[in-house]
Amino acid sequence: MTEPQIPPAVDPPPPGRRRWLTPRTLGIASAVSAGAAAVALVFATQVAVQATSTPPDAASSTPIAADSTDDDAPEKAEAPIEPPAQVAAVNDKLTSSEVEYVRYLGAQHPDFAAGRDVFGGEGMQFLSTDVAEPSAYDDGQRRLISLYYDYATDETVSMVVNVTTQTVESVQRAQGAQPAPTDAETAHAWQLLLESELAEPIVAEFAGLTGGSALTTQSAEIELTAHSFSADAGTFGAEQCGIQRCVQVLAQVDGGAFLTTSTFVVNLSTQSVLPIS
Amino acid sequence: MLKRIIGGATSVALLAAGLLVAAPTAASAQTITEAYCSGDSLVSKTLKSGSTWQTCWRIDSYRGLVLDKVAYQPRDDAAPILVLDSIALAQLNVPYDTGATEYNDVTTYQVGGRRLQELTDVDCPVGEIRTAWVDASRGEIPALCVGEEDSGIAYRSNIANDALYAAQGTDLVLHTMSRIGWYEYQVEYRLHDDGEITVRLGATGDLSPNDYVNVINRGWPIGDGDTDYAVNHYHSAFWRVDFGIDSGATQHVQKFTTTHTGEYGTTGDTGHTAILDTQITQLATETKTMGANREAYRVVNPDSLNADGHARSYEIIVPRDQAYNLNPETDYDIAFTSAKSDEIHASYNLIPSKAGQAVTDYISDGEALTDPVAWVNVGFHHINRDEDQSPMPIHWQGFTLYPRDFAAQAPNIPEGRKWVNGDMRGVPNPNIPQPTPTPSPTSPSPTPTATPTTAPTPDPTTSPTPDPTGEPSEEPTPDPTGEPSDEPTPDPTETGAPPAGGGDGGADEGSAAALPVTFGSGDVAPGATQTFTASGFTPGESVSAVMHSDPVNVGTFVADPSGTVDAQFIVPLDASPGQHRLVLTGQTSGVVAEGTFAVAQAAPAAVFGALATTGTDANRWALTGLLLLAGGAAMGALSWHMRRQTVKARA
Repeated sequence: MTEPQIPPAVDPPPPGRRRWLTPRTLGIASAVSAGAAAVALVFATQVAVQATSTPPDAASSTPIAADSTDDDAPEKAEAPIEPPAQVAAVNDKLTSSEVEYVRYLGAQHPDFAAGRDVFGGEGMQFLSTDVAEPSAYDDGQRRLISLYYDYATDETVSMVVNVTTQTVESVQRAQGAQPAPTDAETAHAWQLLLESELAEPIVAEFAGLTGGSALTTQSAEIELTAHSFSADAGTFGAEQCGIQRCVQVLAQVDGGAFLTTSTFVVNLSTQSVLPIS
Repeated sequence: MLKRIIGGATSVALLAAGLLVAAPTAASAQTITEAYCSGDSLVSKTLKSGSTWQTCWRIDSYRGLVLDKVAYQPRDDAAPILVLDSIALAQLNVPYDTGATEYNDVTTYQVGGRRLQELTDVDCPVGEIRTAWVDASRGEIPALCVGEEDSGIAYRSNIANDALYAAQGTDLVLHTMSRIGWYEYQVEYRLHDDGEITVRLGATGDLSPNDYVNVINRGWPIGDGDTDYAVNHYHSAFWRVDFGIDSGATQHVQKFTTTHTGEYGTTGDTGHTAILDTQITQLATETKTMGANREAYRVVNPDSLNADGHARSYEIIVPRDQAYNLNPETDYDIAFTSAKSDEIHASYNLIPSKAGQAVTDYISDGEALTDPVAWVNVGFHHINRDEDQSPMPIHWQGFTLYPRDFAAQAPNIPEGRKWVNGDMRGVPNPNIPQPTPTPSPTSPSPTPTATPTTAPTPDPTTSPTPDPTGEPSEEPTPDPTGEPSDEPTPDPTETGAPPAGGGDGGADEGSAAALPVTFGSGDVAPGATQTFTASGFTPGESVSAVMHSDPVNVGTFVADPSGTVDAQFIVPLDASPGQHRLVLTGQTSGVVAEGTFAVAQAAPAAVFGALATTGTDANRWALTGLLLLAGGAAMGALSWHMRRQTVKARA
């Protein structure tokens, strides 16, 4: 072989150059730069990804009971529910932890315990929690509004909870507003309807659709939805609905057909089933 | 030499380090929207045209998708300007024509909460899906689709004959899906790149399985022959639009009324050219209106002026013929109220202090309008069709919020049209070359191509462009008459069959044989103006210009009588550094010209300008990474160079 061997030893620094300026140091510096660049670019990617995607937030997907009448509802919690670790910005979307906290705090208010739920039990019927209209305030504090129904007085009750200061700021109540019913109210109305003597045609319709199955509240083939019902001038048979809390249940049978429930209204305030026309 | 290289590498590395250290101070000021929401609740998007939208979003149990603090930034403005404090559905009233059934979906069923549907890929083919906590039993679900969608032609103008200014537009679209009984509703907000906002509700799902009649004129037969009359019905969708034009403490509602004076003009070929007067009056107090012919409304902030000194405003454009005027809850197109935080729903209001009230109640005290909320009611009378059976094709109802004087010129104005402001008669078009005394067909005429300094709006990120008139002499443009022989002139009737006869060596090249493009500057920064010249096109034809490798349309231009295109474009701010190819295509001849130029590392001023625009950490990190890479590469190259010198010395 005639190729000259390149000695692996470090070259002496050429005259006129500083000692640190060798191919090796430059190579190392280059590698370090590349490494740092890689780190920075990875960071850039991560930051960009985080800026555009949902941050993993295990706490926010903790299931909580939908209805205040459920045994595991925040309203029935024995140990205090702590406020969220981080208070959301004024217009942020809801988080599970703040909803749970706001429901718990609302239930500590004396007006809550004084009210009655759909079963006549102690405590108002919880309906919903949302961001309180942000334009009402200009102090940058996070507020949520919970709606309840008080079956003791037939009133819709609102509680504005300031999450930042951890206080119930206002409680208002009025008759004449009927927010959408909850799952518990819907299921209870369905039970009242099936237990009433007016249910016979619905039971027969269900049997016809399913080849003879008996219709009970446990029938798995039924999917329920419901809407709150207020009487208008054209309604006969449910004139108190609107002042009292009434719902109309839609019962969809597997396969798409809806049972004919539109001729009935369930008055939850009086626990009665009313035929309407 | 070596010192200079080291110095360069060091300064690059220092600049990279400095970027990180200086990050907190270099961060741009918070925008109006960013002050109200954070993280995933904030949508911030700079559209392809350069305009930006920002909004907060959330899901309300009853109203569904709510947008808050909606702000628009025309491309050349420094920061987003607030348009709306909030917008959301306020009621969805569905009465059936038999009078037997009526629903108020927002308050009595919910559009958000337990009715909101999990989005799947088929719901959101463009953009991303974001999650929202919707109800206790389901927690967080994929709830919102947000993405940039093509919207067709944005503008097209050939008025000045210097170029065809044309561009495709895009919209930032946000939508959700709700299922209420048998109906499914898509709630959609379409934020156009020119500032327009389209608000729509789409209804699909199924016709009511319970509502069939034997009264022929209240339904439509959808079964065999004269059977199964599905009941006709109305959907009246109400939106609560809380205006916040430029965060104004005082905003006015103005009504445009255009009336016929009774006179007719003397010109016109029909003799019926009416003389119309348009009067603008201010609505002082709360009211509801059913629009008449030639009436329009806008909300204006008298203290927020655009560059022309005109007050910024948004106009409300509603369809006029469908309002359900048979019920005091629904008998208006637009109502204006003074913003109240307990007036949320258009009817059956759920807030106890105004329990059960409707817009008609809100306006009864006739308050002064200084912070106006518009209640927009869009009716749709659904006379069923055979086609509306399962699954029912989606049908839409909605309205438009239209910017009026929000920007002093078109918000996405191409550079070459910025000189147009007002009556342009007598104003010389800076884009049209002066006639040259001795035109020569074989060399480009030295044309006084406009430089950005002639634009009325100075662009702070524009770096000086070298005078393009100096360039052609350095690099002579190949004789255009010599080129076409390489590539046969495309035959309009060509069917794609190989050319008859021999010499197919040239045919193999296909369209690869492109004419050259000469650039005014070999090296430009993002945001700066690049000029270019190419010849060989058919005189007068439209020539599109597309920058590669990621294809970016930079404009459509017109070849002059000698078949030359001499034009300019702004290098997109997000263009990556390095070589880019500009491809010009004659839209009539199919002639292609192409050439490459370099996009420089953004100048510091441009970098900080870009940061101020986007305000994200990602850019800073990415830039730092790129600078470090460049520094590292320089040092690596130097290392290699020194080793090589050493080896040479030994050999």
